[in-house]
Amino acid sequence: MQHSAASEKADVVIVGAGPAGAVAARKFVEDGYRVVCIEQGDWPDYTESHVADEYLELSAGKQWNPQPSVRQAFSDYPIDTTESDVEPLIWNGVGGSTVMYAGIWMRLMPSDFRVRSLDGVADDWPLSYEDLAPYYEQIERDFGVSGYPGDPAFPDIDAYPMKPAPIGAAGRMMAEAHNRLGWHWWPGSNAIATEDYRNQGACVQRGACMWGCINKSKASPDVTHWPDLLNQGVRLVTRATAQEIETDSRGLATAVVYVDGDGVTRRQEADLVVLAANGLGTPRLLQLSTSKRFPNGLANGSGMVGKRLMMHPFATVVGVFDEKLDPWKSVWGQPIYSLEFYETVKERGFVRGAKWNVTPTGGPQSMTAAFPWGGKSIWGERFHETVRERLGHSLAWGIVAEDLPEEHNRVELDHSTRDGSGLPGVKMIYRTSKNTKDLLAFNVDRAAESLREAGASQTIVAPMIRETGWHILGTATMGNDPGSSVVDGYGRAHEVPNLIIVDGSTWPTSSGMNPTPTIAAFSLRAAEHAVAQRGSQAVAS
Amino acid sequence: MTAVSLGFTDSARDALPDLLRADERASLAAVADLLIPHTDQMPSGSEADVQGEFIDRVLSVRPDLLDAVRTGLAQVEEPLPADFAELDARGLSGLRALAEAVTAAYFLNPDVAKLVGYRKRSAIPIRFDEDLDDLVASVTGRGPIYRPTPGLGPSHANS
Repeated sequence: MQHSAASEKADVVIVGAGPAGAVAARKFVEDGYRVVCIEQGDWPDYTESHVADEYLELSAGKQWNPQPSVRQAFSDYPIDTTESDVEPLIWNGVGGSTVMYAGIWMRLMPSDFRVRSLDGVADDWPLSYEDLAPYYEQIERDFGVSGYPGDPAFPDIDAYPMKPAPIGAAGRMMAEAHNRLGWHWWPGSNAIATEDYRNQGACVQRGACMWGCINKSKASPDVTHWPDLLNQGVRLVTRATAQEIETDSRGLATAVVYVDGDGVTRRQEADLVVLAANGLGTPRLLQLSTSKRFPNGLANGSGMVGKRLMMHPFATVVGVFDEKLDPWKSVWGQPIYSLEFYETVKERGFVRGAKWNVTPTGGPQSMTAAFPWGGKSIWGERFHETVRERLGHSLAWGIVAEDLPEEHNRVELDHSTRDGSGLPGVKMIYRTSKNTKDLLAFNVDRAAESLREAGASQTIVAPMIRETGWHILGTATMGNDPGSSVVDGYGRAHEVPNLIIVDGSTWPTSSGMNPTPTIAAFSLRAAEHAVAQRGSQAVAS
Repeated sequence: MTAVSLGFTDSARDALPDLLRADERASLAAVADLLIPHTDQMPSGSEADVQGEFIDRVLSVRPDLLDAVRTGLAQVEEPLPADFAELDARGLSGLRALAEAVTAAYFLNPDVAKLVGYRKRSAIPIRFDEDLDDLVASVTGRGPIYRPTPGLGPSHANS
């Protein structure tokens, strides 16, 4: 391996160019910081998108598959999931996993920040909904969110930057069913532009948000942030794999050591180090950063680095209808959502709840897939009849279940594997708890009830799907007590005052919501706090 | 990145080596008919030329599937089963991947696409819903359903 001299020192070096990193980069550069971002992947190549041709569903099986072990791109590091109930879904590159997300945009509810106080389990967050609310508003403008204000499931969502996408025939049918049941529903909020907006083009409803949005309607930071950040002077180093965070004799972070695309090891010195590498990548880098002072990994005096992994087990219930719905002719994300069963009702026998969203079921190839239809073969005599029944006549409720933190659910270095730069891979040890399973079972039953009310002739349950680990949370938890948490409420590592973690690994509890808005809002709040504290910030000399 | 993986074009297809042997294509045709039989309304797999142009198109976009197709075909030994149920009962490990490749090839045939009413996604400009106020009226009428931050106000949820 070659070695190179250090690059010019920056004010802040950020690891990860996904939403958390991009939001922090914007705040810092706007306040005059010299910002460098280290990103292990490259830019998404939308010329490889098949959303507008007949190969869409085929491409979703490989190039545009969110599972690193399927995609096997150069930037994907090995993840051993043999002891995990859920497969992690990640996209490593500029924009992060939002390049492949559905754009579903949900704030957390106030109770999500007060799980211990309200439900007697897990921990409260060291910040409240009210602390985060102004940052949500800013982030919703920065990510070009469309939605319908006034949802009574939240205290104060008075406006969205754009009107919501049409709810479509499927959304309307389910909305009317919920109105008859007296159950909550709301027009979908999505990080999808419904008009031309800044760098985003107006959505054209191909229902293909997750497989390369060529209209750039869906907000991912490679569209919404990075082109502007580069113009503002942020230095983005792609194909650069962070190897270690270096510290000095006082325990302050001095530099990020990384291997660049040519295999050259480099050091990027900075006054501040910001980690935004997601719930697997962030603990991995902390665990890799051992020293005499930090023998168990950086910022790990509490022993909590890598622990409390939460994965949001996900279920779907499909309804098949006589009516022709063509549900893919809409946004894919969420035409509508429901929070009817989100809050704790103790009589149900579990705590916390789930969020539902209507999701289309796709084109003809998807009608034969194991997910969400179950593993039973449909070929042979029933093939044509089954495709005819399902294609254009089906929709699903996707159910995101809150997963509570447990220390035995964790991520560790895996020294038996190596990534392209020679670093160890990771191993996930994750088992779904009884509370989460009970919660999912209850919600699956209610979702089937909802679909039957809408007139479904069949309901098909995919009770817990392995390949749905989008939301990787909790592995560098925040809290006020340095003895039981890694960072404080502003993402600052208790033990390393100039190390800030801004991604979903900081979450003390997982909520039941799609996490990107809260990750982004937290990152903005953390960066703003760091800027405000600049005068008193301890830095390596 | 090679031209092949960028997606299918006529010139790219012409440039492809012949990925499957003639005997493999014959076997693929037979298996395709077990998976997707002929009906009065729909062609069978081989009638839709799964074994010819359309498996080539699949492989042009997904060259990684070649091994799965080959492996699946190699597992289907003579004599061929009479129907899919019999094939399925053999419990072949490669059947699912083979079946998915055959299915993808089948739906790429434009005649089949026309018959099922789906070829690809189309651009549909947004026309905003104008009746959402009415549609959400019963939801808003029931009032707040969230539990506020303790110390900040009364609880609204039914818990």
